[in-house]
Amino acid sequence: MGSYPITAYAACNAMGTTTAEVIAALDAGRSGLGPCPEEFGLQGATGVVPGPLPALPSALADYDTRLTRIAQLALDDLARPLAAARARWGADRIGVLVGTSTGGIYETERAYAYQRAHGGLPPGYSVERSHALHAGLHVVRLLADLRGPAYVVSTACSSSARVCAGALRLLDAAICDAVLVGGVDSLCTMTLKGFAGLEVLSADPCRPFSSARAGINIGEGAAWMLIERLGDGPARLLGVGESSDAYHMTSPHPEGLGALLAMQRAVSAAGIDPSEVDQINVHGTGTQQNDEVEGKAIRELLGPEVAVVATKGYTGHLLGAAGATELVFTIASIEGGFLPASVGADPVDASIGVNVNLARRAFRTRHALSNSFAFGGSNVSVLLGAP
Amino acid sequence: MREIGGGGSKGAGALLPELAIRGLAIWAPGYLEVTRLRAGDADPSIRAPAAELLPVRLRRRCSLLTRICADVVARAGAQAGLALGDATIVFASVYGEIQTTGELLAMMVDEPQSPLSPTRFHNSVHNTAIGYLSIATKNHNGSTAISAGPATTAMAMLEAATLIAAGQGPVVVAIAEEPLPEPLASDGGRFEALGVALVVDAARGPGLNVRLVHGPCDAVAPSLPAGLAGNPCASALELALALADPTLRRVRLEPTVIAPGQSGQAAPAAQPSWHLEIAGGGAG
Repeated sequence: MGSYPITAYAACNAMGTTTAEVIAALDAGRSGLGPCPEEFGLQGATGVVPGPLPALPSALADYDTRLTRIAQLALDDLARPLAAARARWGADRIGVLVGTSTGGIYETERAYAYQRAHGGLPPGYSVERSHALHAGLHVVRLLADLRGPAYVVSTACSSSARVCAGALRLLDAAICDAVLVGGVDSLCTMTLKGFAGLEVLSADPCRPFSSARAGINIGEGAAWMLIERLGDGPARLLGVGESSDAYHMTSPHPEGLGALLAMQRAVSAAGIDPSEVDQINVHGTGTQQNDEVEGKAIRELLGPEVAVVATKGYTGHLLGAAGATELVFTIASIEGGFLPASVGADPVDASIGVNVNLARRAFRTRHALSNSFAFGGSNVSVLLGAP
Repeated sequence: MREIGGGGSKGAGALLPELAIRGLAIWAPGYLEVTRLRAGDADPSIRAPAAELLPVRLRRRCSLLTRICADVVARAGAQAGLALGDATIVFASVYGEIQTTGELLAMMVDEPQSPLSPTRFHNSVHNTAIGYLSIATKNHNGSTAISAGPATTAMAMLEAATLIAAGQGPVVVAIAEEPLPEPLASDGGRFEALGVALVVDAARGPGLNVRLVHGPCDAVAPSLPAGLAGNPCASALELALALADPTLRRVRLEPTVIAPGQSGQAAPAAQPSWHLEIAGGGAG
């Protein structure tokens, strides 16, 4: 497996509408979590992208959804690096891999309500353009003006980490010279009520790896990374490890087997020793069981001293966009020479036995892992390196 | 024109391996066999996938899509003599678990005060089938679930080819699509369910070998019964028909689309598309 520079990155989420705002909030330890918008009918902390979301260009009006607006908002920050990559490699040689779990469910929820009241789907609603997973893909491909291979990965909460594995393979096989990867999910009633039904939602801002943790918050957002065959960038993509728990649809393997396998495979794909990993951005959802099991796997592979950073206290759980968002955080921390605070983690749950980074501090990262785990026992761990 | 996977590439040469198709299974209402599908000779007794890979209680609870997937993966795996726990599964579908998703959507508008069923909720994710398959076969590999609209079959084969190039074969490609629920079907169309599984590995000798190519393609799609032709993953069944037909040397994996920014004047065959060049024959 080759290693490739990540030449540009972008994100929007509850922390801000531009990448600069998001990274400034990460640097300052400022959470974006706030009350759940009334339209969703649930109480509790939620990560909402602030402000009105700009509409899509009129040529794409048929595809204008909450999801595609969030995707576009983050993509705006990549206009210049994308133009440079198109000029360098040609649009045909640049792939687009998008991770999402919700697709356009937000619009379809409204379409069902309208249909019950009026007897037909609302004007302008189309299952292919408003709902389908590939509607968002189509929009990203057109906005970025790319024509290489393009597909959606939808493995729930590991979707937008798994796209990095596809990008590595497309680059290694010389199908592409660059790949735009990332993820996007929007808030919707289904995920809020679904996680409420699983009894894992926390009313208060989530507290991953804290002894006071009481569940997850749901958030929305998008994050994109441009991975190129050659170039200069703030970090390198060194390896991706993928695994399946083969245990349960929603509970992690009690010994953290799948998490361990994913991390081991990422490290061994890059040909480094686990002791060379300096920091790990954990999946860290903030449920009792998930954090405990992830901690067990981290201790086993990396030992109790590696710096653990948990960032869902900033954004909530972005589901299909979580992996790419946390990779962007990790890239920014490598680039900025710091470790972000794990907001909400204090007091740390000492029984987990890992070294959670509580306050922002200067830090030089050589290698960083980022974990993403999902329903279906679907695990991905991504290894990044300093440039 | 650029040929990806072919010998004559210009610029950065693609490194896709020649692929061997070691197993092939289909499921659609009336059809378990490609030969009968080609003849349009439906067996009316075939109405539900057996899905014997899944435990009986689970089989009753999970969606048609997941059962179709389990059924075709098991039969293709058996044909290839493959231990399913050792394979990587590439699941591909346009709308995924849309029946379960539709049930949740209906529940939210019809009974807004009721909590959502946790089981239905986790069964609505796109990777539900591979989750259950990984548990049923004790498979710890990194299987994936993808979607790409009209290019879903093509991208599933590309994902399989790059996995095999990366040494992560054998790969089971499982492409499946279940009908849309109402009211979505009133907009998206009414079609019958289908599933196709292919066991794919690096070619190591004679057999049914294929090469994934991107370029102009003059192949004519094999015809399907009306209820299946409208399925968004119909190209997967066309692929199955072509692989079982010793007279065909080429099969298109995606309908011809005019790429953004291109003029719509060129003939469809001249538009580059993903297709398979078929080197051997006789499977099916």
